[in-house]
Amino acid sequence: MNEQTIPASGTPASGKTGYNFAYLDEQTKRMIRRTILKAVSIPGYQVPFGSREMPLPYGWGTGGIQVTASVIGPDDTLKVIDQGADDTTNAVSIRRFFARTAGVATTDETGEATVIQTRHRIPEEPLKHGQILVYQVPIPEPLRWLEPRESETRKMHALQEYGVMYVRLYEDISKYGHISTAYDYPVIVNSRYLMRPSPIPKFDNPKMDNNPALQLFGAGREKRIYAVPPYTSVKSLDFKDYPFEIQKWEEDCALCGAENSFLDEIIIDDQGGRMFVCSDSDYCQKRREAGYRGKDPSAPRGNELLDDAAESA
Amino acid sequence: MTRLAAPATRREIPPGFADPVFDAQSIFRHVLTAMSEPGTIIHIGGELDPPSPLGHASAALALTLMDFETPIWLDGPVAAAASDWVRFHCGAPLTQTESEATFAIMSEAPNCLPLTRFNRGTDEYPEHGATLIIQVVAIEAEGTLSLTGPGIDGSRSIDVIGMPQDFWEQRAQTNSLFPRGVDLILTAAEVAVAIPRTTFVEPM
Repeated sequence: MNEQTIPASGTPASGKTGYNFAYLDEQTKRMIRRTILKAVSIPGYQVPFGSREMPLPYGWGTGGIQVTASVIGPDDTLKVIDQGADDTTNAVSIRRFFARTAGVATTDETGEATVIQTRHRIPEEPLKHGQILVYQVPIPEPLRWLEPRESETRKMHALQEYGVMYVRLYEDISKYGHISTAYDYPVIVNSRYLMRPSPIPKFDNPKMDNNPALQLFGAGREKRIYAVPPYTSVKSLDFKDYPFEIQKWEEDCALCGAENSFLDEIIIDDQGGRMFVCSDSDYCQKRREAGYRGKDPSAPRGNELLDDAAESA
Repeated sequence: MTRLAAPATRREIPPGFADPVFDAQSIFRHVLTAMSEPGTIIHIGGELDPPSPLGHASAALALTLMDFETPIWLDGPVAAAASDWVRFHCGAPLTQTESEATFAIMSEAPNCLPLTRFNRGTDEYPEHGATLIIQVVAIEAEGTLSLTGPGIDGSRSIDVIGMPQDFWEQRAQTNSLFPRGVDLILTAAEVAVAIPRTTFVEPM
């Protein structure tokens, strides 16, 4: 096969030739950039945009990728997580996608990243001012399952007519005695727009409030972008007598012993054995490297400690 | 292929970005910071020599954000000097009707009044509200304006020199029907500051 090198404008030396920088063409990026700016100036409002076909199927983060591609530059460091983990399929492929098409540095460490693309979690480590968190959003419209017509939901947002969502939460209470919605829990942004925070667990909702980082949301299939600027109020819906509550676990992380992190239940054998571990793999790893231990004696320790142990042995 | 000699009467159009991809990306990131943290003064570097009175930062914003999808309104002085430049580099349609414009560039602040001439969007489509790029005399951190709202931790103060007396009052009235409103990017030579419609501006 002939080696074919198409010099592309804007492809850094380390990037893949033949593609424009970060895959998207410049006009598409401009269009998405304009959309992002409007999204930022109207916090929580879903701005329609001309979503492009991406080299992966809808539902795999096409919206998030387009937002990241329009924002990212050669000096950025990208972290991608899928349900909190850096090493799951979706996260690995998106990270490699940008390493190839944009030649950007990638990292697993929340603190080092300038852009973090996420599917369904907010990292446990508090985000810093200057960081950008890009959410992959499957269904951006919070009222969609209550009102299927776009023309109607648009009017409801225009009129700030959100009673129907309170009724839904109330129905939860009347049926189950508590609000059973555990993820994608609706929020009000800047006391104005009802927003769907993408399917993050409601455990993460309080982190969105007054966060110093910029939060951008991209829905590729539904062609919407919305945003929460830094230091903006994000309030989870609730009632005076049924205040908003986050999930709690009776156990701590079996690996690192964390008491305040979001835990995944892992089935470990076919005898009914199970363990609870941090969903945020970077957070858990860092804690183990710092010497924290959970109750599981066979839990792998942090890589650094293992290396140290090997050296001293 | 023979190349035709340029006609002697041809008007020179100064060049745009030296590196369209990365210049646009880095300027966009600055603008994103400015828009998401209103009152933050950004420095827009790079080599650009747009036809005066089109300023450096305004020109860079045009190259970064405008194209055939965005009708642009230019005020008299900018239109007289830079219509060709904007048309050539951005490929954007110029409009004479303020309410049709997605972006507008004003050589000096008084030319933006009254603000109600511009598109403020609708309750259902507030994003159609225009972005106004207004050139001012100077922008300084710390000063007579107190900014509060989304993107600001507490409050932030700036000073904008060259604004008409009742500008901030007019802006407040124009944007009183939130989510409808116009978003402002004020520029002075190489610096810029964004004031989206959500920001409360109070002269101290």
